[in-house]
Amino acid sequence: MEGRPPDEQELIERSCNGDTEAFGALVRTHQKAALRVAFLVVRDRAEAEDVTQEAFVNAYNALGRFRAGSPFRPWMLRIVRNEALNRVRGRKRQEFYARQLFTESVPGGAAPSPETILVADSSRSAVLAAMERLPEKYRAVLYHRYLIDLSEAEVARVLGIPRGTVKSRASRGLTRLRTLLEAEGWDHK
Amino acid sequence: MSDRLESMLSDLVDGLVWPVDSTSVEQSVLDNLGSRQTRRPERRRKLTYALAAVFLISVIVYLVPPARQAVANLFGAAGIQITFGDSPFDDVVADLGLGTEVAIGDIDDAADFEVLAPMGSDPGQPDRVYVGENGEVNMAWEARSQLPAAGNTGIGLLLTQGLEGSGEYRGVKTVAPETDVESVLVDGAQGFWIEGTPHALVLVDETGVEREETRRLAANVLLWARDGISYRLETTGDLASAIAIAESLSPVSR
Repeated sequence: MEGRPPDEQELIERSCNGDTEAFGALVRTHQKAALRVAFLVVRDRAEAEDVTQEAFVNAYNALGRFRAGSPFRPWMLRIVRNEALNRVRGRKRQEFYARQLFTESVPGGAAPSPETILVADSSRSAVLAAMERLPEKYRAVLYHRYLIDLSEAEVARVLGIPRGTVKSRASRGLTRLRTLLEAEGWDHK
Repeated sequence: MSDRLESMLSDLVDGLVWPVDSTSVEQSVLDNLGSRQTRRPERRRKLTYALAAVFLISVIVYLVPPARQAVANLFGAAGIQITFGDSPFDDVVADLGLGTEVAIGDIDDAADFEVLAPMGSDPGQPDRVYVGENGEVNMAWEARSQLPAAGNTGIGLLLTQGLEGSGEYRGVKTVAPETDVESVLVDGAQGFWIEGTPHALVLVDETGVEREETRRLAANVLLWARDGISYRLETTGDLASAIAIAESLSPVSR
C-alpha cells in the first residue's frame, strides 16, 4: 500500500480549518484504497466512484469529530464502506418495496453484474473466486485483510467490529476457503 | 504463514488489477466542497422529489388493492382491512426476511459474536431465532397478554443484535413530527428510545455517517450499542419495560 505522508496530521488540522487543498492531498493519498473498498461492496465502477466521492465529502464535513492523533485511513475507509453499504441497502430496499407493490420483480432492478478484478494467474483467480463464495462476514474480513492490505486493527476499525472478532473471522474464513478449494482439487500445501 | 494458501493471500494484493485503480476523485471532491453553498437547494430538490415519490406511492397504494394489501401486511396500517392466514406470527416472521431460522441452542455456533437473550420469565425465550444475511441475529416473540402485538403482525417483541454498523450511535434523525426520540442509558451505554409514528429511522454513527434503518414493526424502538455490538429492540411496550428487557440480556451460552 502507499506510504502515508509524514505530515498527515498537519493536513488534517489544515483541513479542519477549511483548507480544501490540504484535504485534496488527503484524498490523493487515500483514494485508491477508498475506491477499492467501495468497489468491493457495490461491484460497479461508476457507483464506486460516486460512493467514494460522497464519502470524502462526508468525511470533510465530519472532520470536527475526528479524534486528533488517531489513524486517518481506517476512519476514512469506514466512512467509505458505510456509504457503500447504504447504497446497497437502498437498492435492496427499493427492490423489496417494488416487489411488495407490484408482486413481481422489477425488470432491470437486480444488482449490477460484478465487474472483474483481474488477477495475474489462474491459481490466484481460483482463490479469488472461492473467496467470493464465502459468507459475507468472513469474506469482508478476508477482503479487507488481504485485498485492501489492511492490518487487523485497521480491519476492525473499518468494519466496526472488535479485533478479536477479526481474528476469529479470519481464521474461520481461511478454514472455509481451504475446504472450498480442496473440494475443487486445489493443492494448497 | 503456515501454508501456500495464506502465503498466496498475502501476495495477492500485488497481483490484482482493479477496475477503479485508474480513477481519481480528487477534483470532483474539491469541486463538490467548493460548491457547498449551491448544494443546499439541491438537497431541497431531493427532498421535494422524495416527498413527491412518497405521495405517488401513496396514491398507487390507495388505488391498487393488491398494493394496498401488501403495504397493509407490512405495516398494519389503520383503516385497511388486513387478512392473514391461520398463523399471523408465522406469516409475518417469514415475510420480514429475518434470515435463516436456527435453534436457540445452536445460535452460538451460527453467530460470530456472543449472542445475548433476555433472562427470566418475561419475556422468556424467543419463539423464533434467525441469522440474517449480514450475520445479525434476530429473535422474535409471539404476542401474548404481557406483550401486545404490533399492529396485526402477531409479533410482540423483536430483538436484533449484530456486528454490522455497530459503531456508537451519536444521534437519530427523524422526519415525522409525531415521533419522539429520547436519549437514554441502557446499563450505562448510550441509547435512544423512539416512540410514535412508524417511519424509517436515520441513525448517525460515530463518524457522522447517516445510515437508514427501516423499522420492521409498527412499534417503539430502543437502540443501543455496547462492546462493538449493536442492539435494536422493537416492542409495543413502554420505555421502562424495554429497558428492563434490555438490561436483562445475558449470554445465551451461560
